Amino acid sequence: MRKGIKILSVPVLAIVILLGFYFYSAESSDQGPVQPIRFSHKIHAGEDQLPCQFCHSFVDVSPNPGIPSVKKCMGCHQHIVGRDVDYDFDGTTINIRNEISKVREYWANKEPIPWTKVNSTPGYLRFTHKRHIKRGFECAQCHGDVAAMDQVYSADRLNMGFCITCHTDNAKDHEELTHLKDCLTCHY
Amino acid sequence: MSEDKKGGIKRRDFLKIIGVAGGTAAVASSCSEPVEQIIPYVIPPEGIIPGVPNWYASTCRECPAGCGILVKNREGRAIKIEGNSKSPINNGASCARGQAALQGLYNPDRIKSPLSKNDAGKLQPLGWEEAEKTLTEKIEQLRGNGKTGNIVFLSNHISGTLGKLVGEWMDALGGKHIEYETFAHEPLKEANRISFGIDKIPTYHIDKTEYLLSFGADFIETWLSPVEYTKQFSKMHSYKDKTIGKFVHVEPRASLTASSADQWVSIKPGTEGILALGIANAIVQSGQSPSGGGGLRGLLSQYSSGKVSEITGVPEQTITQIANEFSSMQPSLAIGGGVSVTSTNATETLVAINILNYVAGNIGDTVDFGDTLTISNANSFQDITSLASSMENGEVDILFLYDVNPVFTLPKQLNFKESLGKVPFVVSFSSFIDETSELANIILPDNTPIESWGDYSPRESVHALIQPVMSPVFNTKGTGDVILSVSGQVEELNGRFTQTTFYDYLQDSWKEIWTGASGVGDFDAFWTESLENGGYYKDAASKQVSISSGVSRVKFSEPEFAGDGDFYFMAYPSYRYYDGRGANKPWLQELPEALSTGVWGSWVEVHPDTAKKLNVEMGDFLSLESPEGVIETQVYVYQGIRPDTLSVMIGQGHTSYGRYAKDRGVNPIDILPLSTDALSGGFAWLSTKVKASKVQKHEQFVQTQYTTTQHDRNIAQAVALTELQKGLHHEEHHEPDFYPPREYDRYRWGMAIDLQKCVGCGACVTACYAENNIAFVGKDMVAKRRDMAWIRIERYFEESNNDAGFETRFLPMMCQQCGNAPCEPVCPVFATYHNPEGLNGMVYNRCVGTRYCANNCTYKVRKFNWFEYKWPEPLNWQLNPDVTVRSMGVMEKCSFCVQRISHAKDLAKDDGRDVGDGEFKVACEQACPAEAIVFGNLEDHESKASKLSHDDRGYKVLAEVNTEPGITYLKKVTQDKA
Repeated sequence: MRKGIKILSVPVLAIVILLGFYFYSAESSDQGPVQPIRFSHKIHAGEDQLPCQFCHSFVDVSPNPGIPSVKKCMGCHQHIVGRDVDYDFDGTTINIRNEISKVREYWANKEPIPWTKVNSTPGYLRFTHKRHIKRGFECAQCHGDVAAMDQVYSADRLNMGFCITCHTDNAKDHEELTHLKDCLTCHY
Repeated sequence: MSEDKKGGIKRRDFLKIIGVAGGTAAVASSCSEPVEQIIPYVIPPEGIIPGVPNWYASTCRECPAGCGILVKNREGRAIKIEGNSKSPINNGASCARGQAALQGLYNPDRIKSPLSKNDAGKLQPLGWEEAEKTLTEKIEQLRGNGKTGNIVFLSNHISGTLGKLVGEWMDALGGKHIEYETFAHEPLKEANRISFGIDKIPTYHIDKTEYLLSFGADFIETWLSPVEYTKQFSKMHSYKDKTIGKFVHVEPRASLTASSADQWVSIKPGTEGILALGIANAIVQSGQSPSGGGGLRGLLSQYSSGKVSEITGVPEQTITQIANEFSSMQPSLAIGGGVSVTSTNATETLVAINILNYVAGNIGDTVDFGDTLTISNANSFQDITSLASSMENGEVDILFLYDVNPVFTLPKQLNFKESLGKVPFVVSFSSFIDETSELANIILPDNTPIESWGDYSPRESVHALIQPVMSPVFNTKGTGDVILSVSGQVEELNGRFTQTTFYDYLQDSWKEIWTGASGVGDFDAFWTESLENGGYYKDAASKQVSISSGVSRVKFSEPEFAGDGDFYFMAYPSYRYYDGRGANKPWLQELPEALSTGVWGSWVEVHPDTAKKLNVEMGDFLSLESPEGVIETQVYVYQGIRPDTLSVMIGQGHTSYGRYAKDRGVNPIDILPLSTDALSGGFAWLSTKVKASKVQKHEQFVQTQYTTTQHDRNIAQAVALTELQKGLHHEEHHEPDFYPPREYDRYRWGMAIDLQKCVGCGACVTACYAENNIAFVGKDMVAKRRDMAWIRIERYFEESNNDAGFETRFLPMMCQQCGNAPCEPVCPVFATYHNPEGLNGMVYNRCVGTRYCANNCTYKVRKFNWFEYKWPEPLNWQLNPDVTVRSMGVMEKCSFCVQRISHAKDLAKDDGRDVGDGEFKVACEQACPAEAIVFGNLEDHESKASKLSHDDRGYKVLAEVNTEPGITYLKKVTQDKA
């Protein structure tokens, strides 16, 4: 009995560790969540070259960047019904007109679109977009080349190491470095 | 060996398996974070930016004072209330009850939709349309029977537009509108009518006085306008220009207000009027009265100090001393009110106080009849009594109840509850199931003031607006809208009101105010400006009054007491629950009562000598028996009460009113007789004697501070005024330190707390709960010393050579943000550390809960989360999104509102500058009505906080342990016995 457990525990532990590593690294893999509408950032930010702030308009005034209201979507899609063509959305074939019609449906029902959050920060972190944008950082520095993504995914793991590296590299002087490495800057 | 015998596994193997299984579970669960959604607006509301708060000006309706408030809204939810600095009443401050209004809004026991009583007598939900139809039918049915005049609308004092609408509605229906206030201050009105011919309650200018003499007026707690008067009091009583004003408080019990007095005069209950006349006589006799006593000399001469001393129990020399001070420290002011002077001779007492003011030449100076309180217009107790009897006689067919709980607040002898049963149709607009609304036939829940349009005029010069800060939490509807809607459905009333919504009605009503306001632009501009300012504030012209000869006809009698018990019984309004309406708010339940530091319950205050006589100790139970009934409650031994008096606070003892209030403590009103003040007819609160006997029951007296003395540690320090005037030898010497001194660049956040200003009201404590997501834990947890408050008011009773034999000192204690913090080096995981701006940082996500820091904290201000505390839905809607909600196993403490610091720095950075002094306030500082707390940057030597830190009176608590706190306390100033 005892020996059996001992022998068993080695592969079990190994599997646990491997699984753990897999899940740990999988978080930053290039598969975002499936959204209620196959909304392509590649089309909007890439092909159409809409600036990020056109939709995420509070990014320089608020901690939260803001996501567009359904009304905002309809501002364009009132007129743009989309081509009736197939589109390769990260390997899934979708019909563009079909997807756009979903937006119009939400609008007609006066319902919000229940997007799934792609990047999230833990509850004990107070992150503000405003300060970073005001400092002149590009969205892509944290969010990756969104203009090339159909489905947006976490380009970086956005963990504390990521934050601190950037804070250390970008501090103007010693005073700012002290402040940027201070726990209370982000945790309270 | 166990292996063979039991065939099971050994302990070590079991642990191994569990370890592996647990590890697997942990790894597996850690990777699947719950899917979060982000829900966009369909149509974005104008002016709302997610993540950026909006502030709306409105008016607090937790008591009749009508303070202006600013309500912080984040993403559509009201999350914090602060005083509106533009309001002439509270000038930016607030009280604990005002702070806790949010827990009324988000109370889990709020009525969620209209309710109607079914045949089985149970309240069942129904839709608004159906509810209004039911009401319409009842009204039409009644009018069909020709029974007009049998409709009564009983509300609290609603002086604004809603009151006007109710009045018009009742006129149209042939009904009656009665305004019932639990504390209506009727004797005050009547005394002023007798004395000056004006039956109004004036405003007082405490700030302009040098000497304040209060006869029972608990102006720091509940009297008339507590925040305003606390603020004024703080101005007159703070140390500046080498002098301070003096405050003497006369009351049988050392209330919270008395605790801030320089002298507490313990007086035989009900004899305050005699004392006032005695003092007036002494002033006249010594030739110190500017009017020489006028025609009152003869009357006054009957009140020689000797005789007065005999009746009142106040020593002769105290009478002479007060007389001397009252006439020499000008301007002076005597005020009277509160339950302790509301005996059967209340009006006489207050007339006597008016005479005292007149004799000293104060009328018109510090008493202002140019701007009177609208609560003067509330109905009399006589009206309530006759309402009860007409209900009893079946003369009321429909009774509307708005924001009142008479079954709880009226004496039982009035039989209001039984009378209510004789009314065929009772309609309640209550937000809660309470002792009264549970007896209603139908409940049409009103919006809370935070969800509705309205206005309120606490005094003639103030028209305060109430605006909705968020959409209603539940399926409730504004009562104004219900009245207009029902009126539209009642056939005969059709067309009586042109407005369909109360908002329109309100605006139309404000057009009249606009017409009366000269020199303002068009109405829309006036309306917008009033909304932004929280209302429209006029300047009030002062009004000269003179004393009427009628005062000489008043017979100054001694009070009458029912029952033949040994003790006078005092039921006093609580500054936490007012008349009981605050009891369903957990923040107020958990706010320690300043004098006992007791929480979540009731108790009877017993003098130590009396306790000995009755053979009871702290926590024992006493049975108090009046001719009207018996209550049993816990003993709190308190030297600040007369040996011949027992007192219990009003507000607890609910038999209904939600989970936080129900079955908690006792309601002292239950044993009060139906006595009235002889001249005004107002209810006499202090009118019975009780017998007290020990009950065989003992429970821990749950409080937050179990000691009353400082154990010679000199925590709350005081200095004599004379010593201070001579000039303190203030030296800032530094002992040699092993460590080099800390250096700060731009900011070192610090604070100065003036103990001379602190009145112990606890507004800061509740504000801190609201701002920082502090969990309330309940009585059982507080009993185990697990309360989570980040700031507490320490109270000490110091021995003194004054008449009372003790003085009370309050000291707000929170994390001292030590420069040399004992908590920091003992943390094994660096979860607490000193930050470059002088803050003692607490990083929740690093904390592993060893609690070493709390053990090592000199000031015992660190609180540990023993459990995962929950806020029952929707109380959690109030949580501040800028502050982490702490979880089990984590230490927490005052952060100096680091989120506010961060916010201020963010705004300053936008403009490329540093944060300026006074640009933002921390939550406790913002709430404080006494302006005792000043927060600021100590590195900025011009900042207010920095200057105060170097004040002569400044000291650090337990400085000898060299923690180098960021908080400087300013010593309380004691006045020598004259």
